[in-house]
Amino acid sequence: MTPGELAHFIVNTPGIGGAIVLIVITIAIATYISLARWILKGGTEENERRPQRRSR
Amino acid sequence: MARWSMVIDLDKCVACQGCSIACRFENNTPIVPPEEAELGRSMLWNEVFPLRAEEGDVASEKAKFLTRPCMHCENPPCVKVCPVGATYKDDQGIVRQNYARCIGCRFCTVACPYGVRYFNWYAPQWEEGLDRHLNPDRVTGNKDLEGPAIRPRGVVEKCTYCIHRLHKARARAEAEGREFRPDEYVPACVQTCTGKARFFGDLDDPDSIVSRLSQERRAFRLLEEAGTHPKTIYLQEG
Amino acid sequence: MKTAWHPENTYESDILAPVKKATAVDWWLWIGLLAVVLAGLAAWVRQYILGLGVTGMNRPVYWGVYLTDFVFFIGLAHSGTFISAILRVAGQSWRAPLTRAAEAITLFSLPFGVASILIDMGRVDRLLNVIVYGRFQSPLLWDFTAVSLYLLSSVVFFYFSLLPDIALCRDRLMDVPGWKHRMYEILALGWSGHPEQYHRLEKVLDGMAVFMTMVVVTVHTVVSWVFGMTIQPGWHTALIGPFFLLGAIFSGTAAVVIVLAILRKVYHLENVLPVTLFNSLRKLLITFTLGWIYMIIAEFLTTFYGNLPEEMEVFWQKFTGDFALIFWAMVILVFIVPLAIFVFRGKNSIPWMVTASVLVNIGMWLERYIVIIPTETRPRLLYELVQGRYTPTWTEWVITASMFAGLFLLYAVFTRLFPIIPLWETAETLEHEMEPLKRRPRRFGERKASA
Repeated sequence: MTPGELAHFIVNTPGIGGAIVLIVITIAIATYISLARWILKGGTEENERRPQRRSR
Repeated sequence: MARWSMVIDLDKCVACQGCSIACRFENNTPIVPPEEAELGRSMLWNEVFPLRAEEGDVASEKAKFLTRPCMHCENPPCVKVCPVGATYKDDQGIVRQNYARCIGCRFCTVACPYGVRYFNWYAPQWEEGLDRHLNPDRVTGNKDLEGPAIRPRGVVEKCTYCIHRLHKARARAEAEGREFRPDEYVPACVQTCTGKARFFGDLDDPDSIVSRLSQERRAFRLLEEAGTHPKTIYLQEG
Repeated sequence: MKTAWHPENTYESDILAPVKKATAVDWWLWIGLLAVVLAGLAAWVRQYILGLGVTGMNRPVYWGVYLTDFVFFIGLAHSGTFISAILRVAGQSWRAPLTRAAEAITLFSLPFGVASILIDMGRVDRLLNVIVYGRFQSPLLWDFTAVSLYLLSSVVFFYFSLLPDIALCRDRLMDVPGWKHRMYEILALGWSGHPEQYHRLEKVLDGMAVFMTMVVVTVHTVVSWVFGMTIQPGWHTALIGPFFLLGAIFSGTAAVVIVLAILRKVYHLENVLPVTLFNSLRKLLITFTLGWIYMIIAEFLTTFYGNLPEEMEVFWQKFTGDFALIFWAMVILVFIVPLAIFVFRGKNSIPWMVTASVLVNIGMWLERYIVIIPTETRPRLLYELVQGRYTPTWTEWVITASMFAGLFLLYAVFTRLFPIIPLWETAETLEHEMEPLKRRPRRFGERKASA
């Protein structure tokens, strides 16, 4: 399969476009969930124990 | 594999609109009430247009007409834009429409530069009596519904070069245990044409009538500059 | 219950006041808007049962008011992302008080953009076919990808920047109804206001702002490509993408002016939303107005000079034909009058700014209409055979009105549930509260933070 044929197959085959939409959205959702967890983890015990220069 | 093509000789066309009517009964295109037709919602897969005379041009005042089925382009703009593959060009070059898959977004109808695609604004209706004479033919398959099959509301439909006739001709040849010949199949408009102005055949066969006519000096295609490479070919008047 | 740390904000009580209680006027407004929304819903159900024939669409005008609404709502949505993402990337700090008000426009107009497309579909019951049989060659799939990613990303971007303020509502608003407090508790996700959390939040928002800027450019360009990728005269132009994008940001920014003025007046936020904000927006709007006329001239002069027959059919439809009234109304509403107002009257005058912004938004809706419809009335082959006409029916108007009512309704309800001015982003103390973690070296001459 040449690159041209592959490109043609990807854009032209019913179903692959839908899969691309799903993949993009799934990656986005996964990224956003992990970002949210990372932000919230900023307030966990682990960080509390870290030496702070000033108290809250 | 054949590459089906139609040649329309405008010199022989008498604008009787027989092709339009034959197409209507062959393909069960819905008949819309006059007020709908007034809005521009009439459905004629094979429409006959009067060409406007150039203003002040005495030579072009003679009445001229153009009959227009689908162009069955080699590079169809409608197929490119369909989001679900409901319209597609099959291996014999016919641009087909699957009513069972169409989502009614009407992208193909605005993308087609020839305006050959029609949308079912309402569910199709027939007057009392007409509904008992519908063509029972249809092309079905795995979630496919094509040809003269009754369309639901909200889908797009178009000329298919009478794809069901091709299927029937092939089935007959198979039942009789012989090879299918390209001359066993013509669309209804070609069969009915009063002036014998329409020709149909295989463009891949150099000896076929359409191949020979397509090489005539009078031969032209609509919007050749658009790069769609139509397989419906016209022969100029005069 | 453990409460979180919150940065100090002088105007905290002003900003929180609208969230505490909905007035009787609010309820009447909401009921009125809801009635319009329900009328639109009823019209849509009727359209769904009978078929799209109840609209004025026909052959060859296959796309009408619904597609206009689609482009307009998606364009309006660009306001929020422009103000909060692009200006964040550009480091424009004046934008802070109006970020959330602008982003809320994004959030609440995007769903109506999506709805317009669904309303326009002949067989919306087959929507899943777009996933099951989706072909990526079709620009509609590009739209699906870009718009759904945009919708998702703006919800997340909005929610992230709302988090500290939800926690603040949770901790400060004790006399609100139980369900409301419970909602704050759940949505706050246990935000504790730890400096590290703020630090990480800022980092994520900065990163997402860059991403959102790219998405915003993509989305509106892709929306225009639904038209631009066909070979129809008037649509098939490389300028259509940038033109749509500029128009989107233009109408979006004008919408921000309208919304800010209403919020300022109704919720008495004169201190938080000073007139200088409007002056900053005025400068942006003058730029966009001039950019818009530049695009118009570039587009139409190219067409006119080239003088291709089928392009000129569409051109004259707009300038002198069936659409001349709408076309010239658009030029007056989008360019001539607003530019005059912005330049000569807009400075320090909120009523004038609002007047011009309303005109701009009406004009931009007409602009979308003018881009879409005239081309369809003169298609490439048929312009000499069939000439299209189009008159929208009441169904289309009712559904359009109901979508605008829905946008206002969602916005109005939101302002009674969450603070519409970001408290933590406008707080005075946040910057040096986070300083120890940032470990920024003290520059020469900088005063030491008073702890």
